[in-house]
Amino acid sequence: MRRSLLLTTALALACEGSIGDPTPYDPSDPESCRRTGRCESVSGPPQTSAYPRLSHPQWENTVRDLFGWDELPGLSATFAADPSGTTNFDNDGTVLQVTSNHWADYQSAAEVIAARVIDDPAAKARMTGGSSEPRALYEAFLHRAFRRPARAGEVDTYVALHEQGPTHYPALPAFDAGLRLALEAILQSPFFLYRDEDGEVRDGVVQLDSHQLASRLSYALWDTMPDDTLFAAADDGDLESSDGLRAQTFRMLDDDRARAKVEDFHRQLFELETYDAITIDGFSNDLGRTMRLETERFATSVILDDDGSLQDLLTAPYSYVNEELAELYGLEGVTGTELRRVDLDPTQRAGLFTHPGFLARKRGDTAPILRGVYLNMRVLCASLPTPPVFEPPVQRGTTRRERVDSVTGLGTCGETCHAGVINPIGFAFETFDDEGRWRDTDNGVSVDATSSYWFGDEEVAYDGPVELMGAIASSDMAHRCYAQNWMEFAFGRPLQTRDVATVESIAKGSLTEGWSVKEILAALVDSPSFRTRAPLPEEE
Amino acid sequence: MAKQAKKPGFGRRLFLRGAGTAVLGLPFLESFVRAPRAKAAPSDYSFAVWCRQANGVAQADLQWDEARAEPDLFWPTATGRLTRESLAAMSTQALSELADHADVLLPVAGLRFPFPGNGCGHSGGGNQVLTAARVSDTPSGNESLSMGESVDNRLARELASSTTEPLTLFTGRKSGYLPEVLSYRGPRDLRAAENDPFLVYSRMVGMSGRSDEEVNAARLRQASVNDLVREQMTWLLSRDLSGADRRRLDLHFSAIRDLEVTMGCNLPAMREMELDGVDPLSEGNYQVVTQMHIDVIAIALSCGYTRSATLQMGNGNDGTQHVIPGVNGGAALPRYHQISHRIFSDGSEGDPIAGAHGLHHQVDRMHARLFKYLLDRLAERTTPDGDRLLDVGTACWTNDLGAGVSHTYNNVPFVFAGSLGGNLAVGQYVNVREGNTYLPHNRMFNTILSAAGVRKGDGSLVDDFGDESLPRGLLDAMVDPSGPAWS
Repeated sequence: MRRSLLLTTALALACEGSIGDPTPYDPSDPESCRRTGRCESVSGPPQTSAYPRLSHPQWENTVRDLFGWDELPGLSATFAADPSGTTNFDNDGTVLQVTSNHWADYQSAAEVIAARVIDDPAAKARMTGGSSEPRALYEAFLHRAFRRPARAGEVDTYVALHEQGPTHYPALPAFDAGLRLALEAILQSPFFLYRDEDGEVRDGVVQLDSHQLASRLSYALWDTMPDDTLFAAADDGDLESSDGLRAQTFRMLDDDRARAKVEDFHRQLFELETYDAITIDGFSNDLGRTMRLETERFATSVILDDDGSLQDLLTAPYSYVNEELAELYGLEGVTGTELRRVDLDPTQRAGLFTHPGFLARKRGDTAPILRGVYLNMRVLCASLPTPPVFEPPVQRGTTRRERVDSVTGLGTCGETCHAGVINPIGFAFETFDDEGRWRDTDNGVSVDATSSYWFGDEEVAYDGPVELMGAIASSDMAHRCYAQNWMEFAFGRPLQTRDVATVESIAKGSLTEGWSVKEILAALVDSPSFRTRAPLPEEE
Repeated sequence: MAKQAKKPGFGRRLFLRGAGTAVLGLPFLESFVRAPRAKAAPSDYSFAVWCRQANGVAQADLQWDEARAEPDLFWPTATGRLTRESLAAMSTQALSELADHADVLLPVAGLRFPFPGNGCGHSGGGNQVLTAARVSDTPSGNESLSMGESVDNRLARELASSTTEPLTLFTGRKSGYLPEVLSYRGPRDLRAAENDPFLVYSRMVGMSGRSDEEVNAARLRQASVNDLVREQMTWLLSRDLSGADRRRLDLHFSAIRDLEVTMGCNLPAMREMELDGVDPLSEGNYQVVTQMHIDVIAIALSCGYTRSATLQMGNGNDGTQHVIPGVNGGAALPRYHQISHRIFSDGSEGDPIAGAHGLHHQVDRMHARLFKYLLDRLAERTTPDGDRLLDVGTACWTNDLGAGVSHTYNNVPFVFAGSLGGNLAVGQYVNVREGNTYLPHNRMFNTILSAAGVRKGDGSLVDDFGDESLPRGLLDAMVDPSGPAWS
């Protein structure tokens, strides 16, 4: 469950204090702020760890890129699990630790990787840079492995360990034995496993240096270590200027590693993997997966190929379909299993939430409620309390809307959240059946997809999904929510009150100036929240 | 039953066992980590295992609607002495499944969680079930966390074994909504649970089966690497760090362990293959995987790898569709969470599930049989001293709710088996409720900790586990005064 740090809406207040949410409002408390949407912006840099641990996907990507492999090592699938954090994503660094199980896993993996590198001439060359002189070799390699220049004495330490190699691996050539032993140690070093963001605290602020910025940037945009170009930019101090940082950002956004990151963001935020389980009679078993691929392809294409905006994501009347999806859209002339771009009926379809995957994900009489909850929480970052438990009332009505209204509408126990917040969004999608096809009638009765919703202090009326998505795309709430989620995903930590000003500013640019998503990302990494940090507060 | 797709070139067995690598081996007995505090345990192998079922049990749910209270189908029908015959005769009750172990049973009724949840009953229950601590103000709802240490963590810290981390296991696929809930290092510091029994097992026995020469070579090599990593960690810890960062790096530093001599603690080869082949995330494997976790727990206890373990069966609001032979024609039941709500919904609106109370009872019985599987293993296996595990330790089957519909925190079941070296008054069913007042469950933890030999700094019995506002002391009804821990 996600809550908004930023909403200042009548919507949030509509549910506040209702069943299941008894906590009083405290404007100075970050969680109260997240829950109620009423926040006090706090100045100063965000309070973050000096040593955030790599997430398991980051570990995979980093090892791959350290040795120039095409494929991921695939070892983290067996690593000890990490606790769930409080963001929508799997990379909340506030809960990532090295327990005894993690340590055992890192140790085993380091030994496997070291053995593999020694047996892989290309990887070995990537490690040595062609040098057979240990001092030069480790000076260059540690720079990449630790993502900063080696500190005084570090090279000596690894050279000394290298020289012990033949003792421990007598069957290997001496040089290989040294490489293997040293590599085992490097991959278990805290300087490899953590991102080093330590630094001198002046007036409560740590200013990140060039290499720390490069590392932050590469994990924010790529989920992996910097490439040689970014290392060079850090070495030259280019990242200390706004222009230098932005230049690297836009360069990196053109790389496939950014495509993977953008795809992963939307997959996690919008729970696209749940599409995989969708089946429809008469369609292939690949249908659910194809629905996920459609939305992933659409999102990355809008953002990275077309330099599109959040507005485009939510409203663009085109998509990527194959023959099976085309049937659900009512399109003709699309054959085969490959996805290809098609224009859709702009009176019926608008953006990724009119894709069949979203529409077929939840079915039956609870579908409008679940769609409404989903968009409230994932797109608008609205606060909804836990559903109460009480004796179920009897449903009545011919259409699904009537039946849902009969148990959750005005005059029922659920009216506080359902009638005012959840159902108005869910009802707009009643123009679709449970398989994502357009429909004009429900059980022989004309579909009623009209409703209205409070966006902030403005009530907006709409008729159907296209108008709803247009309203959402024009709302301050959606732009704040999207910017907030990107900050949490890119920075790998929950939002703080100290981030509010940054997110407000980006949301304003996205809404009023039509910033592209690339521009949103560039603004995020060119913000004070990115360049500085403060030590974590002491817990009570 | 098929495994998830694996990355090319790296099978699990290859990675864990066949690449010339080592993980932490089982300990040489003399090298056990010795905890700093005084102990009074009669055995160096006393332990506690905590098994948790979700969604309450099918007992009278007075919090829901007293006038229409469902009949109790869980507890023994009368307090007092339990025998195999008497318990078997209570065939309508879920606990009758445990009749074979009646002589070591100690079901404790009348306990409650002391604090309210914070927006999500399941989460608030999970936060308290092993901690007796408050539920966090922030975060709240399904993200709420415990504000205190859990008993398994305390036991792992205090009792000597090869690791200071308790085994923390989980059956099923973790939902994003409410996954693991049990084990806390401290306030808001939730420990992740592991849901693949093969990985846990492999980590324990990694060097087992290798020659002494191989083990010695690995030990020397790893010691060289560990020395270097320890130096780096020491340097980091010398920095001006925030308290949170220091705790995080301290945990890492303490996790670095040198390889110790392994013992021949393996499951039979056939069972190893079954562990390797099972899909731990498949809903249909719920009972199979739970039994595998139990096998891992039993071997870990018998070999001294750990003396503290939790097994969380299902998510925080477990929605598994159980398949129970002889129930529902052998077809999958409705989702367990929905059964506990008695409606086809995870919320408050939905069609009634016919016979939901009876289905909930059948799910209870299934968990009782899984708990019996644990007791059978603890009865079969011995400590290195030759004592039966079931005699030197205790296992507890509990829940993070009392009953499902109301999500009550009253009368939460704590069913113990095993006397902890003669220190618990087993072979009886006790109800500690005082009149209409349920007792906060912290005193139960004080009893278990003290019976296991844990003492406060001054050498006295532990009487203060959980939130500091709770009444201190032990639960006398659980104590066998003739036990060595009390002398």
